[in-house]
Amino acid sequence: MKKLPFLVFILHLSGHIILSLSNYLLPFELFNLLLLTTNLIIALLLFRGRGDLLLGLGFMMILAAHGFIGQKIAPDALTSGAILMVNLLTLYVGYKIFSQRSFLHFIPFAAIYFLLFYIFIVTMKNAEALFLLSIMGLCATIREPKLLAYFLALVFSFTFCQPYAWEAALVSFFFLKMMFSIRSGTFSSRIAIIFLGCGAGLVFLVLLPVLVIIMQEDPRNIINILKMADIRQAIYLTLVTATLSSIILALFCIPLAYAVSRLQFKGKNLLLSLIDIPIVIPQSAAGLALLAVFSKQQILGGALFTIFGLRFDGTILGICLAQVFVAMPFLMKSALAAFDSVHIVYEQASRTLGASSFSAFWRIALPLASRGIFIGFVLAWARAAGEFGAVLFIAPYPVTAPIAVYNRFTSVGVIQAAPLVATLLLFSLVMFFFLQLASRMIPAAYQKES
Amino acid sequence: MKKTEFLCINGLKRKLGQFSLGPISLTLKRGEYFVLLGPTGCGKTSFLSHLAGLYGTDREVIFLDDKDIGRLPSNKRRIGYVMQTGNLFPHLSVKANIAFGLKYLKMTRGEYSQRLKRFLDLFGLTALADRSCLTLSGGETKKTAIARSLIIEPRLLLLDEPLGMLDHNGRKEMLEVLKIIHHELHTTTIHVTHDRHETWMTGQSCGVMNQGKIIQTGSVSELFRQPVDLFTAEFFGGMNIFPASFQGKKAKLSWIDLDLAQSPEKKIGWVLIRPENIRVVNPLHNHKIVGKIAGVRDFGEYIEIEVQIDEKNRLFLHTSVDSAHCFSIGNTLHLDWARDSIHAFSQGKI
Repeated sequence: MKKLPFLVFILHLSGHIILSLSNYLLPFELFNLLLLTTNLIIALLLFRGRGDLLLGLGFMMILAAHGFIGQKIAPDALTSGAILMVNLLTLYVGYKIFSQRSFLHFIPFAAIYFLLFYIFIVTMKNAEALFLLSIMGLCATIREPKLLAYFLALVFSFTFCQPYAWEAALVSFFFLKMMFSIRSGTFSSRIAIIFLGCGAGLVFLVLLPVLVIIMQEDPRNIINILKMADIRQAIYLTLVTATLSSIILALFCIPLAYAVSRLQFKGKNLLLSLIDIPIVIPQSAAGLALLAVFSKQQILGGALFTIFGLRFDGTILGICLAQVFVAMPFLMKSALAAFDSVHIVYEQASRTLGASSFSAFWRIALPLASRGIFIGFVLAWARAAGEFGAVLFIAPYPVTAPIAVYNRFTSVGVIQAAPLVATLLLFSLVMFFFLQLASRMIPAAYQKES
Repeated sequence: MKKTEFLCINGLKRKLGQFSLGPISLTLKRGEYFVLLGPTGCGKTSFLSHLAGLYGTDREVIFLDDKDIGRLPSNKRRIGYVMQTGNLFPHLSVKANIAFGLKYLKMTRGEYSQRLKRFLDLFGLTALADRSCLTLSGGETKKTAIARSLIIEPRLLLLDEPLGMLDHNGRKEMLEVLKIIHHELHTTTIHVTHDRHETWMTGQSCGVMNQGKIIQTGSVSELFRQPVDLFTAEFFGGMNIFPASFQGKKAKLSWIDLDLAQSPEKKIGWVLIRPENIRVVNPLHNHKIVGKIAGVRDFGEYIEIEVQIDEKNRLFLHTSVDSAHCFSIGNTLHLDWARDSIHAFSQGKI
């Protein structure tokens, strides 16, 4: 039995020499020399009793196969050598999985190998180099499933999502990171994990367009856009009006939400559904409706203009009016939920300690609900800043950022509008990020009273 | 109204959904520590909430220190109310929780910090002063809640299950704190609980509540030994309660005729024989009844023996642990008790 490898080696070597002599293989070509040397080394190892018989035989088979058809796959010696090396690596890794783990572990390896083969060799013609690279990647990562998933995500992003390869890779990395960081803790549910996996589509839908529009844009264009005075003016106006609208909303909605949350009265459900109206009706319709009441030509709008000098159409006031209208449900709903989550026993306890009903609201209910309210405030701010439809009808001038985008799109088209869109997107994301960050800090801030 | 009556409740009544509270009448002396006992759901918490003014106002019902406080909103009543869970304000530190009510009292900065320091020391909370109240243990939470209520020097303190949700050692410690505090501040207190053992440990006086009404008030021993109705008798752990018909000073039970110390007012009612008053006697001596041991249970401090008297009736008696070896199931026992230890009562009388 010990002699078997030696016999195989002798056979192989003699075959090699015969073929070489019969001019099928050129005797002293670099590639042939490589084959021969590798053969010799393996044989020596096997002969000394080191290494694995099956693996050695496999290696020799591959070497022999390359000896026969190697030159037909790739014309030059270097490519042939690379293919040979990758094949040997694949065999080695495959054999290790097969022998150390089970056949079940081997199936995905083989499946991915053939998938990659199909993608690069069959569908994409002349992509041998990519194929070899990806196979090397596969061999390197097959033992680390998470790493393999990242690697495959990269490969698929670059093969299927070609114009947006980097963006797609980024989104899928984000999603994979999310999936791999699941800690079951005290609750473990496989279906919940599957549901989270189904969220992949949503992540792509939301993140991909945003990333594409930002990452495809040349940073210099963004800087150029920011240098334009009218754009800066529009962004500034958006900031001011959205902030103003949110503050007006907060002044009205927070007390109202507290009242609705704490009191029981007839028509409460009707009031709660009224809050949803701005979400239900189209924004353009909302804009028209506001115009029908508050424009200078109408009775109420006219009265406000003649008595107080307040004009809504085409003024900052009008912009705020439209923004307040559309953003109201976001703050209202959050504030309601926040006050509902504060149990009344805390206010009752404060009342027995001498707090008046206002003091109980101000020192107990409001601080305890503050985080939820602030999150609602952020949402309302974002909604107000992004409002287009209603503002367009009541006050298309002065120009806010969303209207600036529309104007640019109608005047010069989608290509020219892209840098502006990228700028605004970037700007909104940064603002939103900071506001969200701030909302996380709120409970800590309230620990320090007294 | 006499000056000694500090708190006076006259027929407090309230309907809360399906549950009706009262009518409740109760008077307390200044500085009294009153324990109100009742099973879960009998309306104890509603009663306290009503006293604290959380259910709105009511005229001419609650008098505190000769003033009608029924009309005042809860922040003007100056009644400290410690709820069952403590309900510390979760966004404030221990110190800020305790100092919460001080802001509504007119006092100088010096007085403010002095009083705060005194109460932190009194309750042993100085070391925890700056901790968030979310990190406190059950006992610490209760202590903080009581300190928070007492710092405004309330005229009346309401404690809703102050020893609830604490372990054995926590209860002992808390009880000690309550005693010290009451000794120090003499605040008139109503302590509500469902656990009759707490009356033993705390009470000067106590009352029993059932289905929204206070059934009986008095000293602990009164309620324990002379209950006025079946509920109180059973609630205080009465075991040997038998229906009886009375005739003069005689009580006729289904298994024995008994002599009573006093003649009851009504013809029918109940007889209570406390298990600790029943003695095991030598068969040669006088005895009232003979029975067979049906069960022996060791409670650590005493032994409970269940004696089968006839097919339907069983007597329970408590005896000291030393004599445990004398009792085994199936043995015959001769039992006797003093005439004074029998308590007769009629159901429904208050």
